[in-house]
This record gives sequence, C-alpha cells and structure tokens, in this order.
Amino acid sequence: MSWLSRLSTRKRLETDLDKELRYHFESQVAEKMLSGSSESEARRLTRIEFGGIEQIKEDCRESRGTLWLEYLVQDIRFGLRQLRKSPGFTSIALLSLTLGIGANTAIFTLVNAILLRPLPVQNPNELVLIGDGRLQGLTFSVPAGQWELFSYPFFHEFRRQAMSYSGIAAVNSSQFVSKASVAGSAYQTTHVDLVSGSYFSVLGVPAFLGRNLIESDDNAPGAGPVAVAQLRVVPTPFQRRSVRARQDHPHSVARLHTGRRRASWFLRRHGRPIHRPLDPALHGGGDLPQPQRS
Amino acid sequence: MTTADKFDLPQGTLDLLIMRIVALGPIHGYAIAQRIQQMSREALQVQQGSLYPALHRLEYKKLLKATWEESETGREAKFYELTAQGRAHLKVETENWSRLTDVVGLILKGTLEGIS
Repeated sequence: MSWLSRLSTRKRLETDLDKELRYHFESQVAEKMLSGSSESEARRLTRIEFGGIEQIKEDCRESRGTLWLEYLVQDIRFGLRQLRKSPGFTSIALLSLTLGIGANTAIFTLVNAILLRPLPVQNPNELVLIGDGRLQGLTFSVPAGQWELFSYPFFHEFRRQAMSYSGIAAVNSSQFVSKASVAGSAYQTTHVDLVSGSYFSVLGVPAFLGRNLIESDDNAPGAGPVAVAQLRVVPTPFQRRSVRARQDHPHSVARLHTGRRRASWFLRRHGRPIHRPLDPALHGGGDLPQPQRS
Repeated sequence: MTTADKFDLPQGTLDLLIMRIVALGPIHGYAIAQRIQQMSREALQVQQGSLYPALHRLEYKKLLKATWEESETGREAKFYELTAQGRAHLKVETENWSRLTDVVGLILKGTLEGIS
C-alpha cells in the first residue's frame, strides 16, 4: 500500500486500530470474568493493565510509518489557518517574498548576461584586454605614464613587435551613433565602431554573408574604407539581392550565401551579429570622425 | 501476570516471538499475547503497548499480513499470518538467534567455570 493510499484510508485504519484494541480489551475482560471477577472489577483491572490506550494507538501509528505525513498535513493546515487569520501579516510576507525572489531573479539575470555567459566569440577565455578598459575616449584624463587608451600608430607598432599574442585587434575608444544607408536604401540610425582589419579574425567571428574585414583592409595605404554591417541593417531580401549584385565591386566581396531563413535561424541560434562587408555608405552625424575615402 | 516485569526482552526478540507464534496459523493479537504467555510457562507477558506496535510494524514491513475474520467468540478480530517474505525472514532470524545464544552461552559458561 502506498503512502498516499494509506493516508486516504486513514479513517478506516483508525477504526480498525480501535476495533483491534477493543477486541483485545474485551477478551481480557471476558477472561477475568470467567475466573470469577465482577464485570466492573474486570474492566477496572484490564484498564490498569492496558495503560494508556491512546499511547498504544500512537505507537501503532508511528510503526505504521505514515505519522510524519499526517503531521505534515496537520502542520500545513494549521499554517494556512494562521495565515488566513492575519491577512496583514500574510500580505506583507507574500510581498516580501515576491520582491525578494523578483530582485534576486533580476540580479541573477544581469550577472548571468554580463559575467557568466561567455562572449559570442571563438575562444573567449583567450581574449585579453590591454589597458583597464574603463575609459572611453577621455584621453585628457589619462595620467602621465599610464596608458589606458592607445593611438592608432601605437597599435600598429605594438602589433608589429608583440610576439606573445596570436593576434591583436583594435576598436575605437569612442562609441557613436550614426546614420547608415546600405545598398542605396533609406538611412537608418545605427551604432558604428571603427575597428582594425584584424578585428574579426582575432575574435574568430565569421561572416554570415560575404566576408569580414581582413588585415589588408587597413594595411594597404590609400585603400578604400570598408564597412561591415549587421544583417539586421539589411533586412529585406530585395536589399540583399542588390548587395549581391554589387559583388564585382572591389570592396564588397564574393562568397555570398544568402537566405532569410538561414539568417533568422542563425540569429536565433547564436544571437550574435552577422557581418557583411559592403561599400561604405556611412554618414557620420555631427562631429564624428569619418573614414576617409582616398 | 506476576512475572510480567521479571526481565526485559532483548531488542528485536519480540518480533521474532510474534512471527514464531503467527507461523503456527492465522491468529489475532489477544491470542498471540496469551500464546506467548503459555509457551513461556508464564515467564513472559507481552504488554499491549509493545505487542500492537510490533504487529503493525511487521505488517508495515510486509512480513505479516492481516485479515478481519470472525473469532471464536463470534466477534470480528484482526487475524495475522506470515507472508512468504515473513516466513523467509523468520527462518533466517531463528538461525541467527540460535547461533547467537550458542556463542553467548559458550562464553558465559566458560567464564563461570573460570570463576568457580
């Protein structure tokens, strides 16, 4: 018999237990009366011999093994009754629990996103940030002798001499928002980063469509500027076709494999930006530095 | 009755005695108590407070099974009998018991001879 079915037949077990002990009691009384006692005397003696009948029942229940479950049910019922009796306390307790759980969930979500989840690059554990990475475009605040930001010529020199790294990439220290038009489509507000040609190869992020920036993009003096766009900047198949049509252009490169379904699958699976080189049609807003077309 | 508290049964012995009595055939709690008393020549009297928890424990362990049947007095009583598992358990425990008493007896006898 399982725990639950035992519990559901608890009433029957209780009556059985009572009946069983009563049978014993009556038999013992009858035996005493046979040996000559009066009924009242026999009952009195038997009661003394029995001791506490409730205690016997309790011991039987305990050896039956459902006692903890019965206690648990009783405790839960009692708890619920108490809660119903003091709605003020209940609502405050519930509110505290709700807030506590909510806050912890929110904090964990944040920590998980920022600290625990690895960067969407090939070997996140091998990435090193040179400098403390805290300052963004505030060169005037760099204390003398401590470089947290590096000039582009410094980066080139550093890359030429550094042997300890499998690759070095640079990203601009200032982040700015700009307008971009892809393949003659309408201008959209977009986030623009200036990166070195080694950026994608160092991070190990492949292009979904076309190719990423490569070293030669910023090595050849006088080479035209190249931009990489996130796929969501190029949302419609029509625009993608027009990008593909420009394949023969020197700066937008071959190996196009397109397809909206695959793109959306890719985005959902990895949730990372998809890059594609195309002719730059970047128009900086306001005081933003512009890539110079030679 | 006068010999009720003459000595304590070692732990677990009561279960063994109960199973031995029950092995003779379906029997209710009151009769088990009486039978133990008779078979021990009045030396043992099992209290209800020990007997019934033990019966329920053995039933819970599936060593005994119980049915309600009419007793010799015409009233319904709960009759216990051994399950197959209980029978096997009784056999093993009886062997263990006789080995234990043999060994304990050997040692105790030796000590007494040494003292005397």
